[in-house]
Amino acid sequence: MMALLKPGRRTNTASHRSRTTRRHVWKESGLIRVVQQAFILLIVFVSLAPLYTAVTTSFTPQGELSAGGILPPPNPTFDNYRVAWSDLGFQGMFSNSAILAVSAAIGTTLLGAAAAFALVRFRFKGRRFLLVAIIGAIAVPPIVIIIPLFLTMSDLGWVNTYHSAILAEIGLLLPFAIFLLYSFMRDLPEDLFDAAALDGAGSIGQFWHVALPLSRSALVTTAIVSGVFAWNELLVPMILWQEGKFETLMMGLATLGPGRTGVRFVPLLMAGVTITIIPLVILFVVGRRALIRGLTEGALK
Amino acid sequence: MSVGTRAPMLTHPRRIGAGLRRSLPVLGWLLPAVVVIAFVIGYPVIQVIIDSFTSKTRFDPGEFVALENFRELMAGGDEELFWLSFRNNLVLLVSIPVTILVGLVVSSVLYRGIRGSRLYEVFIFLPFLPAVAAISVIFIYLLGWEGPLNESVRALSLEPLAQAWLTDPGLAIWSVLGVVTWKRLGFVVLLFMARMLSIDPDLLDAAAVDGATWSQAVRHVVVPEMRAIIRFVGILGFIEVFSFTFAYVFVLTRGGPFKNTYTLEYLLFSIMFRRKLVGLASAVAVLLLVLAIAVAVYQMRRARARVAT
Repeated sequence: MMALLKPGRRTNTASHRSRTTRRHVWKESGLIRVVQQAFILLIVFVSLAPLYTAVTTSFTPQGELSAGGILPPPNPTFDNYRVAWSDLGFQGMFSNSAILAVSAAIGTTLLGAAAAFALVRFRFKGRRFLLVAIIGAIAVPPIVIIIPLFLTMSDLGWVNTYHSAILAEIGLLLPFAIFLLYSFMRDLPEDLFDAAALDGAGSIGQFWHVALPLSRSALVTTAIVSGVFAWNELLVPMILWQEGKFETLMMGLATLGPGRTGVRFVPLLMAGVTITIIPLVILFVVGRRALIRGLTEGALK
Repeated sequence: MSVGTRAPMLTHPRRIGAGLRRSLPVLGWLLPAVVVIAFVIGYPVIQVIIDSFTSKTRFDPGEFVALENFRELMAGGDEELFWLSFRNNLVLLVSIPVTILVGLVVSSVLYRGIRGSRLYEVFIFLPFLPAVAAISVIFIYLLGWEGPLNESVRALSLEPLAQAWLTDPGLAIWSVLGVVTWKRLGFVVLLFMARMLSIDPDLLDAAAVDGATWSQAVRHVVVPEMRAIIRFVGILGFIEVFSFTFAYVFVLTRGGPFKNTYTLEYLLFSIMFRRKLVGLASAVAVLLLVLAIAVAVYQMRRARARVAT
């Protein structure tokens, strides 16, 4: 029944049974059911219509755009994608976005895993304080830190270098990543670490042979969520990657989008929008469970 | 968020691995993450607080001016934008009750299961996936004067309903609110569904045996069980409205028309990067920071209280 979520604390059979019995038990007029269904369909329509329109428009030949149509274009074309990709510069933007997303995903996951491991396996002074500070850092709005960060990076001559935005993105994502990985590693059976220690494994061995393999699902979740957030980020690269050669997809959309609603330009723009969404859809199809887990984890704790 | 409430190793001190007793190696594991967080979040937070008490600009280190920046903001300053921006943030808060109410109805109907639930769930989640910038570009087109929304309205002979959604000074912020709400609904439904799955089915069976209708059961059994997640979604919405709506405003309206859709984030951005007034921008940042910390502390307290009981 649930496509996005696996029932967590109950067995499948139990939930299945209760669901089917329930369906026959409620006293309710058929009318209410019809109203409920209609409401869901309305919400589904409202949710999908804008995305659907964007995608169909991206296949509409330039100049043939007729607003308000719900039918697919009669002469679908890939031209918009070709033009957006090579002439509008989406190719370069795509690689910049990919560099940012992949570096942020890898960096955040590695540093986060090491920190979470330390917080789980070591007792040290200030550990509690550090935990509270890291959790607290999740709440700090990016716009708040962007002023001093920009000024510092300017002084260091880091603005318009690859590492500036990547570093900033990793820093902004790390508190959440550590929280996620810490919550997971905390629940790993200690005996496994101890057994490794008895076999002579030092902290590196325990990290590499116990913590990492056992946390694989949490690591994948962290990497996917970090990557998606970095891919979708606008503010950080906009401030720290100001030169044209660093332009990301989101920066490109933010520049090209406003004020160009002409029938010639819109299909190109929608092709650009779709290009930014395709990798997310692929990731969603492949790693749906990990993504959903990452998004709901914090809320349910 | 029950982090730190369990300390398994303190209860089994002798289990600590032989090589891990000294506290020195812990630095090697923590240092990279801590340094990056300190550089990107810790130091800037301290710096922004210091700067907020100065007349610093991009070109001038400035001097200590005590609370002058805050006074200037509160007094409306030269352009009276602070209160307008704040009001616009309050408008965006409307997305919270709307997403919670609609989210509850949608998730309870989907949870009960209707034909196609599985697919509908994915569809409703989809708007949450793309970037705010991408969504905003789509809506610039949809909400344009000759865009699909107005054209559909005209096709239905409802001409007066066609609006300058994003360029009418009074209407624009409400259109931004619409886009924010549209994008956030899928996430709220996702969280609600996740929580509903862990409700004890016996509670619902008991209600059914007592002859309750489904909507009564939702009101009297499901919703009370979900109080904590509803509050969390409310707080998350609050944080998002004040800290993560910059991209909507930047792409949809650039704060326009005539600065009518400025929010606090956009005000900060504009003071900092257009007028280059570091001190004044930092004052806005400090206000946002205080709000964020207050909300985070409140949530952590409530979460801990819930864990304790």
